[in-house]
Amino acid sequence: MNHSVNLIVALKAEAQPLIEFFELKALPVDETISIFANHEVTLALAGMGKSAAAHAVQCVKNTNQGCVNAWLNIGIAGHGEFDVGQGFLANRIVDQTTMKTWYPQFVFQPVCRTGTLMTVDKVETDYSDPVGYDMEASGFYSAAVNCSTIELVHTYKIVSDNPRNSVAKVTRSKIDNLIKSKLSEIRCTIDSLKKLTAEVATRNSSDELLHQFLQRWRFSVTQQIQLKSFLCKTNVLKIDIDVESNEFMSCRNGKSALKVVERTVETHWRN
Amino acid sequence: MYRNIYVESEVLRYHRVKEILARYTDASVVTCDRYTEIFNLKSQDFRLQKKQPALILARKHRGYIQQAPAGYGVGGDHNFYFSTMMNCLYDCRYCFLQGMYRSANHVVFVNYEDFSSALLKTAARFEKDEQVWFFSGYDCDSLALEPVLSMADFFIETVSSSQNVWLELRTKSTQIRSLLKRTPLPNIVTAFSFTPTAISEQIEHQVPGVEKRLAAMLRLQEQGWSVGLRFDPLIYSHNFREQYQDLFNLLFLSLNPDLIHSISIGVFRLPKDFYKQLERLYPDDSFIAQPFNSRNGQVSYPLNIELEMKSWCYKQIQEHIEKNKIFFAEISVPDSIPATSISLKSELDVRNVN
Ligand code: SF4
Repeated sequence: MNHSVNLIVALKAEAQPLIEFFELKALPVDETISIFANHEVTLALAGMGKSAAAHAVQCVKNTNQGCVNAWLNIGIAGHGEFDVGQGFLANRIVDQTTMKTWYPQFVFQPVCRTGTLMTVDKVETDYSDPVGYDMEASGFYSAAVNCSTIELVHTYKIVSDNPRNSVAKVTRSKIDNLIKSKLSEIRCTIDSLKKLTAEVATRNSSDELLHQFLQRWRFSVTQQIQLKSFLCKTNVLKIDIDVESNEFMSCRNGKSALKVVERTVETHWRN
Repeated sequence: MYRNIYVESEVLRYHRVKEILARYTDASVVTCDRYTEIFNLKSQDFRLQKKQPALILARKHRGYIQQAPAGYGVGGDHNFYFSTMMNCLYDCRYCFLQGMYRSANHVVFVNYEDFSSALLKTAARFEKDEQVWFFSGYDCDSLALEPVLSMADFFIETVSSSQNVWLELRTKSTQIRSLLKRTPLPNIVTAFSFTPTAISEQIEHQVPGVEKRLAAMLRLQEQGWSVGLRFDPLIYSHNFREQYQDLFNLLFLSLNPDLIHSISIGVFRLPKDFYKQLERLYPDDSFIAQPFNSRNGQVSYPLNIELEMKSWCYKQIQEHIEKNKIFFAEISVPDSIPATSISLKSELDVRNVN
């Protein structure tokens, strides 16, 4: 099964250093947003705001059908406490408007600090709490957890402004520099997610044998699920299945082929 | 060991919580309103979370003490269980917790005092000459986290002055210090679960080895504590007789039979839905991949194997221990019970942990 780490990025200035670093190529997809990819990473240039981020997740999901997807929202953020240039992964995301809260789950060791991220509708200039402020995370997160298991969904932000450094001074080239300065942290986080997606993908892989069965006989959806499960068992239990054997040759339909597989697995107890 | 800890804001000021947090100064601590915001989410992957479970410190609000399923007991008149923790440090492939919870994170209900008053209140409903049992280690291992949680220590104290209130601490752990520092009490049974070494090494991940568990039992017995043996679940293999024979020899030749309170036996069994969840989580696992049978809504070995294992193990065990100390935790009474088999209790208890 294929797997991909999908980066959702709001601004062109945030996306460009990533496109260059990962050598991503624009995909000719029929989507309302620009999507770039290489064999392991997909990047969507979402535009600003919660709904844009959620929409981008949907577009990438459509592009990567049948794939195990991890999701990483990358961008700049204000912060009530952290220094400018500090990278952090969100361990709690709060939507300021709805006060809905999400708790991203870490099953890998983060390479940077972790902290609360508040998604706001208007640029935050008061920095009233010692938390991060962005405009996308809650939209991104709520959409992405509908597409993947929560351990594979994260948000990484780099502090661009804080009570001592006004947001008004955040320029395009400053954003470019901030992202470039944290490429190794981003790389590590992507690698951790990649490992996890690879693990899930291997777990769910269906093999050549399944393909042979599907080519030869017709199976209903339920039968396909049963077949996959039985073939998986034969694989794990190292039971040989030979579709060219006489037993299978005499099977007229999927149902009878499925019966033969089932019988073969059940003989396991007698061996 | 914990890198991520979630704490309900309601318990943040609890002394017990402060003590636990003080052990994990490097962990990231996140406050939440209710543990369910984290624990009960739909799209979680138990297997991924098992790599690095988070600790969730919460308060339980009701349902502290539950009636144990019929037949769960080991000779008492009334049986109850309580769970101050959900999920386990260890990773046994047959564990029902993997099928029951969506999350592998460890939830600890820190309001032990509420459990304790409910326990005593429950016990007070019965006559003084009736044995009222409380089983811990239903949704977790009773001792695995004892150095951090002091849970066993607390509940031993709770029942220490009641003669008819019994406490079973069910475990695969060797963390017995909180017992060793006390004078033995006759109404506490520390029940250790075993499968043969080869099986344990294959499917009981992170669990202390058989010899280590036996050493812990011996230390408890030396000090005068009574212990229990739980061969539940029995795990089948083509040479199960040799494997279990070796295990029984090792245990029964080492332990003092007078201080063995009880032994229980039950084959591997899981509710069908839990088993399906395990198939989804571990399609590549050779234990889960076995072609189990489904009966009475439970997945287990084919009936002939189940009966063969139970009657054979029972026969072996009764050579070492009086029959009245042996109990069955069973899923079903088959239509035909072989003459060699003893009267099997019919019950639908699904929990076969520890
Ligand atoms: S079977 Fe018992 S020791 Fe093993 S993981 Fe489950 S609760 Fe823990």
